Amino acid sequence: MPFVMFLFLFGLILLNVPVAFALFFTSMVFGLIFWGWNGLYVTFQGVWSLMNNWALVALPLFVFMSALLEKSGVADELFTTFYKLLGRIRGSLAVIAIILGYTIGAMSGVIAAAIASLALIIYPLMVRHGYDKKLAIGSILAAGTLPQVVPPSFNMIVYGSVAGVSVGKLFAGGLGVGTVMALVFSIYVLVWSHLNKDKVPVFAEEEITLKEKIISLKYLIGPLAIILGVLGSIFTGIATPTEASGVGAFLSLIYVTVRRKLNRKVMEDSLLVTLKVTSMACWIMAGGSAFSSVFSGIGGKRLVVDLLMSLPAAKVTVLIFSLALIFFLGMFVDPVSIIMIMTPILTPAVTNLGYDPLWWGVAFTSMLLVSYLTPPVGLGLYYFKGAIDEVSMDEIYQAVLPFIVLQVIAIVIIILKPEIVLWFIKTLSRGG
Amino acid sequence: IGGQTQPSETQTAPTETYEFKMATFYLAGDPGFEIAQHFADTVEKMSNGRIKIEVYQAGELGFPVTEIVDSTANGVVDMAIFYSSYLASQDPIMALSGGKPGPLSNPYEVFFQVKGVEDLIKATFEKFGVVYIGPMIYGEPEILVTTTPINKLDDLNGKILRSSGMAAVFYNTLGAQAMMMASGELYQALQLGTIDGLEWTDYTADYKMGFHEVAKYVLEPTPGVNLHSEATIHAYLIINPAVWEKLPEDLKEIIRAANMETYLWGSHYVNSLNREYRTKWVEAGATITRLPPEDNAKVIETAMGLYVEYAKKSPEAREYVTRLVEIWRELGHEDWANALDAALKQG
Amino acid sequence: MYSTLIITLVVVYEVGTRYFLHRADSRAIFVSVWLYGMLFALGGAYTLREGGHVSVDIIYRKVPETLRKILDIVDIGIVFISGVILVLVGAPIAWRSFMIREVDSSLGIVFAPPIWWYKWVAVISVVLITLQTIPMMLEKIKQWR
Ligand code: NA
Ligand code: NA
Repeated sequence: MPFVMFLFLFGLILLNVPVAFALFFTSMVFGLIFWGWNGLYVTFQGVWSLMNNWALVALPLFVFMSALLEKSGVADELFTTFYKLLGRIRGSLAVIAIILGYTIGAMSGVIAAAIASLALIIYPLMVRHGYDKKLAIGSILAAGTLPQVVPPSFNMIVYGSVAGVSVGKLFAGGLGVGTVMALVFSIYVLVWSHLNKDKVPVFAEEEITLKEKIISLKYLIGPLAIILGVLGSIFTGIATPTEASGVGAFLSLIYVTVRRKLNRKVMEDSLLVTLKVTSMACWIMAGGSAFSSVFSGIGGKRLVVDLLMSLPAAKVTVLIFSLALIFFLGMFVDPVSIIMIMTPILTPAVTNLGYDPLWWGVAFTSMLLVSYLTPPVGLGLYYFKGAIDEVSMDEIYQAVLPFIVLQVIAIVIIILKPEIVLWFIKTLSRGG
Repeated sequence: IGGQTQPSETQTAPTETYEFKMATFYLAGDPGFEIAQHFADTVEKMSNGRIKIEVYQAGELGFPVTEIVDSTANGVVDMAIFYSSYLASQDPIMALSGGKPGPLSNPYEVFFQVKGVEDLIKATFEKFGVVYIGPMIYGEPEILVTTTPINKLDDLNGKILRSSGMAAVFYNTLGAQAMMMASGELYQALQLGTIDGLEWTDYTADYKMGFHEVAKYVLEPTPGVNLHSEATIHAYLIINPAVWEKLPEDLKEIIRAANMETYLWGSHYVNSLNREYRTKWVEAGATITRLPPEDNAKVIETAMGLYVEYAKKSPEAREYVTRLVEIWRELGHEDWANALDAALKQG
Repeated sequence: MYSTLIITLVVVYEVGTRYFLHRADSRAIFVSVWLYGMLFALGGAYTLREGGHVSVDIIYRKVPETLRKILDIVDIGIVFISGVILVLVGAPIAWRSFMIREVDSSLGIVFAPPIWWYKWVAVISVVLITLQTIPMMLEKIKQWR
């Protein structure tokens, strides 16, 4: 029965029901039938627990920072500068998006914040400069999922405490996966750009003089100072990552004011975008919380255990089944719930077969990252659409496909060459 | 599949089975969760399968841990284990029956104390709409993990410490700064020095959170002179009143007995684990210290200030605190008993 | 809308006092969480009006006009029903919270702020969403004719 829930949800979403309410409505229908009136209680609690989620305070702050930089024109200056400097490398803006996603990863683990921020700052610019829409969407989405593996990663902390493995080592492994993925994405972007010259423009060599390049460097100072301010406040221990997003918003506000680019319209537009994106993302997450509670409450967990038990205990079958299951659940259920529900079930099954528990933790969290992007139910896709309304869901779906393949390739690399992840763990973590 | 098999109306059928949902505030990796699971297994065995209990992790059913009592009262879950400090500010008895400063340091002393005030705890849970069964999970005295050595109480001055509940009150009284932080940010906050230390739980849980990787100093309580958090009851078993009423007497007795057995089994379990993990802390290079004896008086004095404050909060709380004098005396903690007696007469 | 600005200032204040004055002000974290919660929850109705709640239109865009009109009504109806149920379930929860004047216990007696009002924020948010569906529904029905 719990799996019928997925079909029901799937149907509603395809009928164009707003995703947040498709999640709520499905939870209500199944909660009422299989749990009784009391099952409805958890749907309201979904809203309440989201309202008390401390980590998500970073979401409006991040989005506000990005919206402010974009609406004031500062982001435009910044990326035009990058473009001038690296303009001859075809696809450079998309690579910058990936690097920025990686950098945001070091500041936060809130995917909604990363995807919405990247979409707000870079997407309009890429399109204005004549980049292929699909390349722009795809690279931003792929980059936006990196914060989930680049430390700090809340998912890994939850996995670490449930599975009882070192958080520090998971972080090191996550950095490994994040690096492999960022490299794979960048290589793809560069190669694709090279093969599709008509879709990815460059500045002609003579267009920009060296002098112009040097002058344009001044636009880098402010935004880089903001990034350094955020990263610096985290790594010197002044602020927690959540707080650092406030520092970032504050610094952006100061910078935009100093540059005399702050006016009523910029301010109000930025605040309105922040309100809409935050609200859209959080109502989806609240619905997701309701959904996973009902799934768990009506026996979803037991069903998974039964399925796992029915498998032949061969090494590869269990591993593939586990990864597939994570992927499947990841399409509908929020990552933290999946980690909580599935870690106690899957982790012993996998590690009993001789797999390294740390490596498996890293593979587990990386697999969750793929489900953010897979159509039709991919939270990451919704966050993008929420931030950039003018693209259609069709375009997003098509744009993201190659990057899903790349994510899977990166994960296969990790599976076949576990020593990459283990190398990062060994090199970067001390003690314990 | 799934869902709850509602017991049929025919009360006489001996083969009637019950499926209960039980909420906890632990994640699955926590020893507390294993103890709760032990309870579920024991009940199933003792009842010959007539009761099946599905144990849920913290937040798994969507409500925050602070809503466990409300969810049990409303029948969203049938039963739960609950850490009463989650309602510390709602009712002084909830605060007192959770962690607090005091002389207790082992499962029997804790059990002895609960028995002495059980009527008050029971009435308080009833006020919140649930049936109190008894203490299920014993909690070891908690440790303070810091990045710089704390050798005496004065060293706490000005330190920024993540802590909550009574511990927060205690540290603030001693000149430290208690602050709150999302649990997901603690590891990095310690690592990067955003906070100077934290009070989470015992050696086991702190190790599992990885804190030994980023903080090398541990202040552990001196037996008989605990800091903020004495050995305590981590979780009480509570049940929805309607569910409890419907259960036949023999099954009620099975639940009570299984709960007692679980308390004993679990106490031994967490106690052994805590020793094992203390060794792991040492192996990871941690320096473990205790407060010097001359600080004992200061700890007791600070604790008394808190007890007097709580005694003022309600007649029941005053009754609870007053009974502690005799309880502590019977357990042989004369200095605490005398101090509390004097403080109550003064305040 | 302006609560984002206030959250920014509150968080900067929190970080600043801790780092420069070595004082941890725990009130700041409560205030910033409440402001964030109010922002997203109360913003739900506005976002609905602006069409900001994302939906998947791949099939919708390919079906005939009449079917699309039916879907419009079904979709907004599902939002309406979800809203009504959330209100029905949430109101008693918020009411009980009010009756016991619920406070937050995280910091013991150091700081125990009332939170019953915050539960009403959740209820009011879903009431607003539900109310917002009514003009939207009427609009769609008008188009139908
Ligand atoms: Na991250
Ligand atoms: Na997906």
